[in-house]
Amino acid sequence: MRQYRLLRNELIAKDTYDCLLESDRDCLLHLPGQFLAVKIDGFYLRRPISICEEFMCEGKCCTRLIYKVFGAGTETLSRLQSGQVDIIDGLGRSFSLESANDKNVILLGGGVGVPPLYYLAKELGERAKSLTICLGFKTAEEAFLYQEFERLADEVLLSTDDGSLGEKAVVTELAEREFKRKDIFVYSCGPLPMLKDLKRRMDLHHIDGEFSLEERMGCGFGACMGCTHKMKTGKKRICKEGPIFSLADLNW
Amino acid sequence: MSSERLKTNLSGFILDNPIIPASGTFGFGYEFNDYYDINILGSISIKGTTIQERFGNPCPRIAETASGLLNAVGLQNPGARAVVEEELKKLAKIYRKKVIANISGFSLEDYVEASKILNQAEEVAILEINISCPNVHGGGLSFGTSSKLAAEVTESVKKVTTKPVYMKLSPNVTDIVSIAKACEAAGADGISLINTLMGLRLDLRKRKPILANRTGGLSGPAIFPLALRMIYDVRTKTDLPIIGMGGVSSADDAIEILMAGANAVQVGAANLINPLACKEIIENLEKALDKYNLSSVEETIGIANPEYLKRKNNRA
Repeated sequence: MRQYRLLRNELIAKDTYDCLLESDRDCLLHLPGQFLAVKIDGFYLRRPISICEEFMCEGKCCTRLIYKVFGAGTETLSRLQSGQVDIIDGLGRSFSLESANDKNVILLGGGVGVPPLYYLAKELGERAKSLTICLGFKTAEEAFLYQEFERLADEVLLSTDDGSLGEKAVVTELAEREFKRKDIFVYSCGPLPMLKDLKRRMDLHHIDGEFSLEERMGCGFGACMGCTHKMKTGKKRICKEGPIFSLADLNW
Repeated sequence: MSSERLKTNLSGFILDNPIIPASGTFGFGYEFNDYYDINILGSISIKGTTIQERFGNPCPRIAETASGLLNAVGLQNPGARAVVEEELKKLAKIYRKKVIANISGFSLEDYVEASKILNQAEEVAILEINISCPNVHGGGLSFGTSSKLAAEVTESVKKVTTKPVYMKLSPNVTDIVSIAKACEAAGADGISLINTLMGLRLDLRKRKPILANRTGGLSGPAIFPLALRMIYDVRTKTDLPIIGMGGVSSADDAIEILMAGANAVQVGAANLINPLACKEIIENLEKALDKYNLSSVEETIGIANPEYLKRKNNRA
């Protein structure tokens, strides 16, 4: 498939790597919320990794990924320092930017769910009335990207499980404090228990939003039906009709 | 324009080349049409169809293995009627050749009813009957593990269709040749093999199976030697047309399957890893024939199978 050049792959937090890839595309391809399916030597299935940021650099399209080392595949990926990476790109349905128009927007990310929200924060531009970022990590060691968010948002609220950085709280609680404001729209990405808790709190306050979901995938581009979930509006492939779903569609 | 060297014949259905994406790995082709013109394919074995619409299994449905994957998708499909009335009509707008309709069922009636419906579709050249499914009326053992049941399905489906019936065999058996022979005796027009092998992976953090369904079907390069052995063994004992599959990911692999005795080759898991897999295999096929001093796909069929070759040459 498409060969990307690995420019950088560095450790930025505990088990967390910041990777920059360059393709031969002469313009941007991806929108916030989309992902790449990355082939790793020695492993059969591609790893789906959300895009953290995409920008033009000296006429070439550069795509940034931030990923956590979770298993043997990502462990191998983290040890690459140069060379070509085989990627299927352009995958997934993106966040709807229009939903942010004139809203008080909250981006809520948990752990490895944080990176795609960075691209979203960048691309939202001036659409939102206000932009609040809520980030939750297990510990200070595992936290990343929050300083870069500060340049894009009106407010960045941090929480950790152990209080080593920001507040000792669940990140969904930080967000809920903002829910008394009017015209709120929430975009979120993170572990399923966090998303379920967030939806519960959003439903209580009648707040709308979009979540990025994940699932073990086969192909990543909609052919194998390996990642089908039952949503309110029917069968949806996380890789094709998702990973972004509006709150109203979730069947929880 | 495809070369004459690559043509192959499945019960009168002439294919431009022997490469067919395997059922379940290609959907109805649309996702792949974004990557290349799917009209280059010899044919397509469409997603497994059942009489009723099926959602399939809960996720996770996929687990990685060494050189392969387990899948427990569970035959997600819109049901035979929707396939004939909607999906095949839609597909015909982008894919100009006939397809192979893959049919699954959990009882004899399921197979018969679904076959009756797919028999009506002019886009369908061959019915490929998947007997790896558990027989819910028979205590859950798959139809494909019993010669008697496999023969019953064959005979019952043959009664309700005029299209060629190819029985797709399960490899989770002690003696696949006897299952194949039973299908042949019951009137099968061809044999398709192999389906996936039953496997299991555990999630070490959660201390339980990765797949929600517990087990799943293993496919990919890991199963290639098993598939080859079974294709070779079945070919030794039958002259029926054979569609061979199991871990094919290159033109050389396709040649190997043909040499063992297959008339056509399905490519499955490779499509998931590389959307261009079938295109690349087709484009490399002639070069591969040249490399191994083969004049044509036709010549290659069973050329490594001396018992079959003797019978083939005696007929010629």
